[in-house]
Amino acid sequence: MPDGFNPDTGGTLTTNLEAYWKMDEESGTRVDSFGTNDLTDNNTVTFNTGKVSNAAQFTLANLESLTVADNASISAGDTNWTWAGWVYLDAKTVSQTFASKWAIVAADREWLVQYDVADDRLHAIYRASATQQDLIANNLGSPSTATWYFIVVWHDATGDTVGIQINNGTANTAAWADGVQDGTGPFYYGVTFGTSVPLGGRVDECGFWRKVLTAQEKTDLYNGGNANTYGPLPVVASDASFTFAWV
Amino acid sequence: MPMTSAVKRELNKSLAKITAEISAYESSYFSSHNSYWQGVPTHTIRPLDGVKVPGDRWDSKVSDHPAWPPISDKVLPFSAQVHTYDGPSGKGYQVLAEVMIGKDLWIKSVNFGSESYRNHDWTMVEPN
Repeated sequence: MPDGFNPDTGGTLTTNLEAYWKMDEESGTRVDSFGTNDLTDNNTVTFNTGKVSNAAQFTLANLESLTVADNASISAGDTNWTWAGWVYLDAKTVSQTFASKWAIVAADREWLVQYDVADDRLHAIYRASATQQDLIANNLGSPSTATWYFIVVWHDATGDTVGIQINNGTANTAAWADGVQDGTGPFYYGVTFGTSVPLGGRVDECGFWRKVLTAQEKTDLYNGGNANTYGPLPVVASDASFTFAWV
Repeated sequence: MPMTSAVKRELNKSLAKITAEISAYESSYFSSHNSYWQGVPTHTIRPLDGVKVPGDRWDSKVSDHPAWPPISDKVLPFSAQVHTYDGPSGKGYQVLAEVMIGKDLWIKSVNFGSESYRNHDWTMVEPN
């Protein structure tokens, strides 16, 4: 029985997929269901109800995170790439990080997705060698607590744009010709460079693609708000499997 | 603001001492828990410019972990914290030390376990 996404209208969601984390584990390593980027559990990330099965639950005061060391498959760089995943805030008292590849030194920073308490907005930052783009999800407005949001962030190296889209709605985009760095810092869920801007909330069903997802692919992942997941596809009976007899 | 070699020497001396004590405690803790102990930052306000300051959070803890074990010198020139990890290549922990040099935050990480990429010398956190 082959693995894949359902729905996957064009049959392309596994094309250029680098990593996919279902976040179903209750503790310890969170497995990359597609690639080799299994996530180390830092400070005991627990679990809670997710969009599909379990989600990773981060306790803010404990500085909990999931991480994998830098490697080529998870590095952004000045390429076409997309990160997508479901996030959930327990509270909005401070800024919080959902995902980041953002190091202590600026030369190793790539991108991050956070809730920013000052703006009361979700946002993404894309880092080039000497400049960075802070893209705010103004089309969503103020996010609510205890609510799931499907975030898609991307860098289009061909069209020189970056974007952030929430719940398959109208994306906020910007022209960005400076590209994104390929740094040496780890990739994190729940924190920025290990100790900064921790998350109190949940993350579920996340993937990283070496391409810019199409509108249809994003729609299929959002799946009408029900989410999608990577796993065994349902068996579809074909006509050839049946025998008919005329009587 | 740069870190002078004299300040760095004193920071490393204190860090080596507390790291040795933490390491001994972690070995004992792991034997009885099959996991390592997580320690909260020792100071609410990070010490400045290498000047030793008594920690005010030795009695604080995260859920399911005890507070700091007895440490011989509770006056440190940095704020120390201990993070645990559990990954595909095994369990471990890292000791993180944070100090303010002028207005800049500097961090050093000492890893104990298989994920050696967690080691780094004193590094200034550059602002966003």
